[in-house]
Amino acid sequence: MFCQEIFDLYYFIFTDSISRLVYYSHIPAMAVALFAGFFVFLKTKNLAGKLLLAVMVSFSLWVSIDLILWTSSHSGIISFFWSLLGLVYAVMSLLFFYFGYVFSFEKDMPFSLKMVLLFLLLPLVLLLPSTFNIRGVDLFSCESEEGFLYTMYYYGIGFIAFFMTLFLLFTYKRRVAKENRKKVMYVLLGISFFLLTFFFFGVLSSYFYNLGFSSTFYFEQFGLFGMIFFIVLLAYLMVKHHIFQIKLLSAQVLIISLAFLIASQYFYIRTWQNYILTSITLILVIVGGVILVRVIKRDMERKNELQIMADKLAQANQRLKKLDQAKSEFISIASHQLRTPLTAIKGFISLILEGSYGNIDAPVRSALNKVYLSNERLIQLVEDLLSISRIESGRLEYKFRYWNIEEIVKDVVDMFRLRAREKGLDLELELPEHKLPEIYIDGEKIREVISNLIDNATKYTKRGYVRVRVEEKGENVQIIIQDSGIGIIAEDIPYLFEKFSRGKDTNRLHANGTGLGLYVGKQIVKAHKGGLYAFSEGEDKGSSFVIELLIKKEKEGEKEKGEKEEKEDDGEGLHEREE
Amino acid sequence: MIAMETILLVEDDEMISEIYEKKLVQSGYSVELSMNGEDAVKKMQAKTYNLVLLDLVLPGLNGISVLQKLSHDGKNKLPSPTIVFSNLNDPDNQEAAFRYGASGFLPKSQFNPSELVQEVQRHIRESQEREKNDQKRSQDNHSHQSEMVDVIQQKHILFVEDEEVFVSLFVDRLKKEGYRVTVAQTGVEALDVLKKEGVDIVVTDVLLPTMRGDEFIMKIRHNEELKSLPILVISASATDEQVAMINAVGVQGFFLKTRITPSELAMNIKNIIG
Repeated sequence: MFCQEIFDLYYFIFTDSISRLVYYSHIPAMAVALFAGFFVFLKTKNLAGKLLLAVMVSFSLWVSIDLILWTSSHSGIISFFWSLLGLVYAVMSLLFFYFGYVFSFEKDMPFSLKMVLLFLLLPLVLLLPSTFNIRGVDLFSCESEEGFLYTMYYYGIGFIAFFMTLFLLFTYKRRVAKENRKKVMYVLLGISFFLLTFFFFGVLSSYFYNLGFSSTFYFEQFGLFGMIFFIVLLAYLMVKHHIFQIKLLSAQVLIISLAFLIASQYFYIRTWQNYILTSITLILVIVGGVILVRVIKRDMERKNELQIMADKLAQANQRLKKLDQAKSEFISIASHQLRTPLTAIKGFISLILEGSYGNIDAPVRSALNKVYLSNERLIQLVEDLLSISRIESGRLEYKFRYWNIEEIVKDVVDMFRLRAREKGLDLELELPEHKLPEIYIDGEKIREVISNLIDNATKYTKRGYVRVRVEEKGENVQIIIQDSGIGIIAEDIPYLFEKFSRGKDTNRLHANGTGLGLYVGKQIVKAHKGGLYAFSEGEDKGSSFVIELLIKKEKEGEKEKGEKEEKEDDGEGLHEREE
Repeated sequence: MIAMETILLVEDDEMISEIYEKKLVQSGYSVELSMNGEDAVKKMQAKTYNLVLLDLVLPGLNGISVLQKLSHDGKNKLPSPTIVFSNLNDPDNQEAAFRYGASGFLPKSQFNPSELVQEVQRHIRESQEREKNDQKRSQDNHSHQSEMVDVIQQKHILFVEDEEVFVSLFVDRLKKEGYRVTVAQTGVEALDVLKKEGVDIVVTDVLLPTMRGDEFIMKIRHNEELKSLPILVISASATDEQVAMINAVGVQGFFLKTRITPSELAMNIKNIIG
């Protein structure tokens, strides 16, 4: 085959008369490289992004020149493009190293180093149009005769770039933060691999050709696979180390390939109607695609933000849990310590009041009485705190057996008749007509819960009534304590059953609650697999509290079960209902 | 069993007095009722009660006037220990009540019936102790010889406690009761005392340095000679497991320190060893 023989070329490079591998090695590598370069550039817009784009453009330039050289048979074209080949190769190699440097250390190269690199390129530029570069074109094989020194020089630059990248690869650890090391390593590895393969196969093919082992630069194209390898690495980094948002990438790839697919119809469309139709489709796809990509982008940004916030919240939550634990422990220890002085105060005051230290005057007696009663309150508070820390650490023991709930309620209500009477409240008790079956509970603790609720009801009701109702409802017994008192603001209801919470404005009332009762009550009822709910239509509209307890039919093995379940109960989550 | 303690309840509201009466009777007291001030004065002059619960708002003679009359304007002691139980808890009323000899003042709305019973118990015990202390003082004035109690007949208490303040609080009170008390600070020390001396009762804390109280109790219960020795446990804080274990081994009483006064402890000891 003679060089002068003009191939039947279409689109400048396509011909049937050369090896298919040339296309397979060149075109995809170029397309992918350009895509990756532009993609990263558009994404990051920083120096590394720009450099990567420059690398990819110079690479594509080299590939296109090479492709033209492979397919062209015009000696003028061949000698012109061939002469550029070395310079483009050297620029690409140095740019790649430059990119590696900036990517690794996240800063620009020192000016002096840049100057050195530029200086290295100078001979290539100066000698470009000379015979040092291209001595002539072999008209027989359509290949140029390369100047040996010039060729060796630019391959030398490629090798230097490779060597310097390798140097970075061995020294990056000292200068790169730990969390970035992995991706820096991958990138540097990819660059060195590319530079090495490109250099190796380039030199090899040149050498073989010049020695006459090979009639073409056939081996050269294997160097291109180094780029594919690099791009694959880049893609891996995107997925694994989230250099760029991968979801967005795939959407963009999809849109672009769709656009290409549609655009490819132009190659064989012959009628103008089809041109218009295809153009409209193409425009629609591009416009729609851009919108879609934008939507995805915004969505992802939001998701990222959410993820960051969620992570922060999870961290904060973790810390809070630890804090809560520490607090429980603290309360437990502190309470034990508090009991000693409290006991001493109680004991000595009782001795003084009993006259063990001589007679005391009425005013002193009055004052000491108050001290004694206050101390009793303090003792009760400490006990409450301790029972809470017991509940929280799952150490509260329940003694389940069958109890008559009506008896318990009646007893508790009787306890409060006096206070209700004194305050002028109607305290009403309504029991079901049919006797309820006995239920499996820890009667003492449930009594405490009911007592606390009625106590609250009478405390927070100035006039009107407190109604206590016991009724059977499906599988449950409900104990409803309803009052005409100060009510609960809707926004307070969710916080009622938390530790140390009392309704916002209840402070103005003379109530001695510690704020622990409802929380403890809720925990106790939960340990019974029951529920404790609060309802109120608002301030001054009264409130009602409902205790719901299961009527269990089973008899055996309940105790162990009940206790085990209590320990598993983590004491979280409230379930309120709206009325 | 000693004679039932009698309480006079002065309250004009029938329903309230019914609830009081019920609760107090349930708790083992005998209750008498009085509906007005004049009747109350008459009853209190005729008989000594263990405690009088006095309402302030009464038909005719009100509560303060009752106190005033009985104490002759505060010059004399009231015939029976009296606590005022009322909703009129302004400082003037309180001050007047104490001036005329009341030994307590309970605001009604702050005490539910169970708490009231506790207070009643406390005040009855308090007045009994006060009575005893008064007697002792007057005896001391008359003859110093009564100090010399028969040493041989003295009952011996082993008190195991490492906290200084509790030693001075409880031990002094027990000595006053006429007991001989030996204090041991650790379980090991206590076992040593038990080996050497005859002891009538052991009172022990649970949290002790080195050997814990529950272990100490086990050792006593597993010793042939000491097996039936009465033990009272007083604890500032015991875990549920410890309580369960101690109860399983068997002790004569378990008290939380914050819930018991020295006199109550003395009373409990007296009930066991006399």
